[in-house]
Amino acid sequence: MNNITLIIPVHSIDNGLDKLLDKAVKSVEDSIVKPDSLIIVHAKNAKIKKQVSGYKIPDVDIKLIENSGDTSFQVQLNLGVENVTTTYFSYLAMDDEVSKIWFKNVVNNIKYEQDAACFLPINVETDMNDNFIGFTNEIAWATGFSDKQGYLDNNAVLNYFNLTFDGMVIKKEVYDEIGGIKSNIKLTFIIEFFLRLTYNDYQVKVIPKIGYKHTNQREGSLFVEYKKTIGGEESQFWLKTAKKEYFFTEDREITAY
Amino acid sequence: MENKIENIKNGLENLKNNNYKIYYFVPDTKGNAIASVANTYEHVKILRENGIDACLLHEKNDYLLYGDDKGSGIADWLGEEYAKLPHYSVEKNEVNVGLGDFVVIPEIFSNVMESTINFPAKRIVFAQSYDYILEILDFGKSWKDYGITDVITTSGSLSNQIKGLFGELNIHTIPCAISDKFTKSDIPKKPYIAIHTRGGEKTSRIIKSFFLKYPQFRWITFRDMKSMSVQEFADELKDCCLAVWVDDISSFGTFPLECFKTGVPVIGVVPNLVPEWLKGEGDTIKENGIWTNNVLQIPDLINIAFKSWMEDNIPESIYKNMEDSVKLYTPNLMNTVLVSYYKNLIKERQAELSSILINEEKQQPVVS
Repeated sequence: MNNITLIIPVHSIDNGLDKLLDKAVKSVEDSIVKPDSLIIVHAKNAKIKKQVSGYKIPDVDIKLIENSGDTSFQVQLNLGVENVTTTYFSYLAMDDEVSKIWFKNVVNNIKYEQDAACFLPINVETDMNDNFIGFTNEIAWATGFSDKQGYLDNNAVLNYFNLTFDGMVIKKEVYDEIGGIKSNIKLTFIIEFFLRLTYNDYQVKVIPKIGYKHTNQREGSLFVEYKKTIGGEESQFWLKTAKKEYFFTEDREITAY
Repeated sequence: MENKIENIKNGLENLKNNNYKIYYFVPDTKGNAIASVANTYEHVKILRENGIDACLLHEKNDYLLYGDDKGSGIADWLGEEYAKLPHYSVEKNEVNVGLGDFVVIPEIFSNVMESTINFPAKRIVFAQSYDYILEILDFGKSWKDYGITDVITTSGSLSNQIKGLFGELNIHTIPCAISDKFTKSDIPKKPYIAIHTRGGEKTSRIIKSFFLKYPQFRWITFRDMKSMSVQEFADELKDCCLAVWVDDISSFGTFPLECFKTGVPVIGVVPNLVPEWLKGEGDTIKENGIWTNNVLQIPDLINIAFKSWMEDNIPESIYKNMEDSVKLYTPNLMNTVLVSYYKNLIKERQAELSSILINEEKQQPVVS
C-alpha cells in the first residue's frame, strides 16, 4: 500500500489516441512501484468504454467513471479526484507515459518530506519522433530560482510559467482545500493552480528524477488544439486572469475574453 | 664512552618502561583540510588510545589548534579531539629526543631527514604521496644517505614505487581508515555533484566545459568540497548524487573512498599511481566508479552518469563494488596494523640498542 491513486482522463480515442492510451496504461503496469488504484474518467462512448474495460494491472484496483457531461480536462480530472480514497493522487495524461521509477521515488520522498503537499517529477519533453527537446520543472533546482532549492514558491511561479503538473502527486485533502483545478480558467489553469497552492504556503517539491515523458506539440492533443485557436492577446488575458484569480479558492465566473 | 653507554642504557630502560615518545613531524596546513595530514593525526590519536605516547611536532610555533582572528585551527577542520592531542614545536625548543624515542618525518621533508641525521632517536619516513618524495630531494641523494632505513606508507603501490627508487628499505604499509563520520543516508539525494581536484585548478574548467556542452543541465549544482571541516564535508557529501575526482598525483585517494562509504558514485581520472582499491583483475581497473584516463572526458561522463542517476539506472554492481572497496579501509584494521607495527618496531629498537650496548661495553678499556 502506497496510498496513491492515479487518474487518467480520457476524452477520445480517435486519431491514434487509442494506441497512446494503451502505452500510458502499460507504463503504469511497468512501474516498479505501482499506485494502489487507477481511476479512468472517460467520455460516454461505447468504443472508449470497450477499450478501457479491457485494462487489467496486477495489484492495481482499476475504477472506470463514465462522464456524460463536459469532458474538458479540468472537469474530468476533478471528477476523478471526487472518487479518490487514498491520501495522495496523481495524474497521467492519456497520451503520455509515467516512468517506471516515478512512484518508487515519490514513496521514498513522502517518507522524508512529510511537510510537502505536492511532488512534481522532472518531465522529459520529446517531439513526435521521440527526440529529446528538453526538461520541465527542473528549474526548481537552479540556484536562486526559489527560496528553497528544489521547491516552488509563489514568487518563483509568478515569474516563471514553464511548469507542468503532469505526473504531479498531491495530497487529496490539500487539493480539496484549495479548490482543485479551475475549469473556468483556460490556457493558464496550471499556473493558476501552482500560484494558489504556493500562495496558501503549501510546499511543492520537484523530485530530481525523470518521472514523466510528454510528447510535445502532438497533433490532436486537447491542449495543442486549443492553443491553435488563441492569439497573443488572449494568452495575455489568461495570464493576467491567473494572477488575479489565485487568491480565490472558488472557481469564479470569468468574463470570457 | 661511559656517557654513551649510559645513554644507551637509558634508552633501553625508557623503551622497557614505556617511557618513550613518537614524534610525528607535521606541516601546518593553516586550517586547510589535507588528507595526508588528517591521516597523520589519525595515527597519533590511535596510538595514544592504545597507550603509546605519540604526539605532533611542528617546525614553527605559530600553528593554531583553535581558530582565531589569525585564521583557522586544527579543531576547525579536523575536530576538537584532534586539537587536544599533544603538540610541540621545534622552534619553541620543546623537544628533547633520546635513543628510546622515534621521529616520523613526512616524505616531502628530505631537508629534515638531512638535518636530523645525528639525532639519537630512531627516524622513520612517512610516505603518503609519490609526487612529493622527490620534491626537495637533492640530485643524486637517496633517503639512505640521510640514514633512513624505515618507511611507512599507505599503499602497496606506493611501497613498490619507493623500492624502485631507493632499493631495499624496511617498508611497511599501514592502510588509511575512512572515518566513521562518512555514512550512507536513505534521505533522497539532491542534484548536487561534489567535485574535488588537486589544487582546485581543474574544478572550474570541468564545470564550465560541462555547462557549455550540456546546457540542459545548467540547474545542477556543483559543490567544490574545499574549506570545510571533516564533519561538514561528510554532511555535505550525503546530499550529493555524484562526485568528481581528478588528482593525478594521488597515492591513495581518500576522497573517492569517502564517497564510496557515503554511497556516492565517483566519476574520476585514474591517477598515475593506481591504488589497490582501484585495481581489478590483471591490469584492469575495478568497476567501482566511472573511470577514465583522460580528464577531457570528464564532462561527457558527468552527462552520462547524471542521466543514469535521474533514471535510477546506475548499475547496482557499481554500488556493490564501491562497498567492497571501502571495506578494506576500516578504523579497526588501521588500528590493528598500526599498533602492531609500532610494537614490533619497539622490540626491534630494543634489540638494536642492546646489540650496540654489547659492542660498546666490549670496547671499554679493562681497568686492572
